Amino acid sequence: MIGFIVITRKIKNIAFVLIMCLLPTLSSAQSIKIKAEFDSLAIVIGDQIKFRIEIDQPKNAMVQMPVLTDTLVGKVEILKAFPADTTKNGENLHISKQYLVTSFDSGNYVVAPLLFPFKMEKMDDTFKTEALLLKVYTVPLDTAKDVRDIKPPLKAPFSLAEIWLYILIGVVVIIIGFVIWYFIKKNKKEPLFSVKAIVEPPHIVAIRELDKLRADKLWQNNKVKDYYTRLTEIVRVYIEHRFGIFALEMTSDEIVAALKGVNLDDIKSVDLLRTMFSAADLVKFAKLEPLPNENEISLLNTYQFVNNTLEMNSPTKEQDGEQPAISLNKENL
Amino acid sequence: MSELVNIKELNDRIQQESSFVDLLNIEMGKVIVGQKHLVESLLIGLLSDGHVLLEGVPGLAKTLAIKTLADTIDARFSRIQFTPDLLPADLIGTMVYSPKNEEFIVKKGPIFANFILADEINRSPAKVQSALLEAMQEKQVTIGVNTYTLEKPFLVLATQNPIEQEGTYPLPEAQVDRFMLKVVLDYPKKEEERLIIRQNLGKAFPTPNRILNPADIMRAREIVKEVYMDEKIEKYILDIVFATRYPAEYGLPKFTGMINYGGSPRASISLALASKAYAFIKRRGYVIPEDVRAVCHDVLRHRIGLSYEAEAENITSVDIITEILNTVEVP
Repeated sequence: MIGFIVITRKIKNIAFVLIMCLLPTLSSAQSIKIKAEFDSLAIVIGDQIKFRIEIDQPKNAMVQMPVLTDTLVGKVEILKAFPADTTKNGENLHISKQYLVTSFDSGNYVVAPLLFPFKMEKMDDTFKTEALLLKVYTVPLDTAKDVRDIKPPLKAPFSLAEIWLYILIGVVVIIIGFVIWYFIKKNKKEPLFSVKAIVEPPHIVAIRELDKLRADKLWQNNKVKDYYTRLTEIVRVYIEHRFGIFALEMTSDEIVAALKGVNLDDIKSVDLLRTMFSAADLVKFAKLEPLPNENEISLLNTYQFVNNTLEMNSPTKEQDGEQPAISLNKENL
Repeated sequence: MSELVNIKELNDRIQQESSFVDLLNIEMGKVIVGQKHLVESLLIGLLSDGHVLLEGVPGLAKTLAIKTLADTIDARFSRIQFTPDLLPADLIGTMVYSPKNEEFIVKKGPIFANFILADEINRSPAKVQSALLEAMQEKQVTIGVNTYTLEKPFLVLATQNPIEQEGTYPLPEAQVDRFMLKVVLDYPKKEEERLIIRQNLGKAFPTPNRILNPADIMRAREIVKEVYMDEKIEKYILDIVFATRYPAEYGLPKFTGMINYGGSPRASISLALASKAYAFIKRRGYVIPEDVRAVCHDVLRHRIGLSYEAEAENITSVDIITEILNTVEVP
């Protein structure tokens, strides 16, 4: 009996030892591990490193991640938050969350313990990570060297991927434009025979207008001013087309001076014109009423000027209908 | 017919009355070598009761020309050197206390003269410029409680230097407009400058004779107003001035964005009056398009406001006026 009792006690002891040995294994399957760490514990100002949170948890546990927005601590800035990466490991889940951080101010920064509230099998608790220290060093200055200007921004390498959309839009616009132009051109009915306006030589036009002026008998009907206005306009238009002098925008003296610059064979013609212009100016601007024979002389002088200066070898030219022929009309006069 | 006779008579009268112009030119020619345009412009201002703004680098005989003109006329001449510390009272006068009479008496300033030379007008602050320009416009000055009418003829000839702009007070557009003419002077020709050297190195500097008195000028001004201007010339003047305001309507759309403001009605009046005075100088009783073109640049160059675009393109008001004259049809 005593022996049986001893054996029973030994079995109990062995069982207790076995249970005590297996207990940690069983409990590890049900525990939560959270770790927060930097890539490096010391950086130079502006350097970028990763801040990593690793969570190992059972599937049935609910762990709440802390919300980190733009600042980790003090002047340690979060540049980018990467999406969490979750992997399965048997009955456990491994969650990894990374942040890209930097600091633009030197110093020692202590990241306070992060709190992770969790819920597992009717148990609510909070996990606390360890505090972390990040050292940010400034750039060492070499005072022996010269002070230099800030470097300009570096140019990003040209990438076709950035502009392909614009090129595509441009090509489409060009194609559309070409198609429209093609159809307009195709549908445009061109006449079989284009009408060509006959361009008369300036002296023909001038002489015809002078004939018309004479026939209108303006000065005989007390319209001396109109008579001289038309007379000077006819000769100005003639000079403009015959010599290429912008006579309509010139005064009488300027026209005479400009004609002297042209190599005229008969310089007396310019004198005739000067006489006519002088009389015309007096009539137009000083209300002079010349004698009837003076009016006739002015007309004859103009005829003579045109005859003496006409271009001998100026055949009648033909011009496309789109361009107006040189002719005197009421607008010109 | 009666009008015709009047114009003929007027023409004869002007031929007779304007004979002093030749004499004046001779007397001024004794002292001023070359600068024909300057002398003509001074005469236009004198005959049309318009003030003249002269612009040119130092040493172009601006002051000498004005002084010589004053010397040929039996009139009072004042020269006022505009400086940054000049006060309006230095110009128009002030009230001073007389211990003898135990009262304030009026001490008239140098503006009480027939010919005023405002030398380097842009060197003085705006309040002094305003005092002068007000007197130019109103032809009267108020000192204390009394208003004094200025002597006739009253002609202001102001000069300004296009260089050394630092520390100057440019005249505002509204005040520049009160000058009938703005004359820009250029260097004399080589031959003229040779004569200038000889004249200045000679034993005695020539002096002009007095050939006119203020009454002659006042009479000539009345006759200038009578110079005949035909409707065609009036239309030509209006076309030119309107082309400075609405260039696109006159076939110059390229100037539309270059002109902030064109010539005012005062510009039209000045152009007409200056054309008449020019015709008088040329001893004619009627205005012809040549007269308008001859004075057009001087009348309009300071009355066209250029935009930033024009300045960026190096377009000046003179370029615009020249283009307008080459585009607007001559009657």
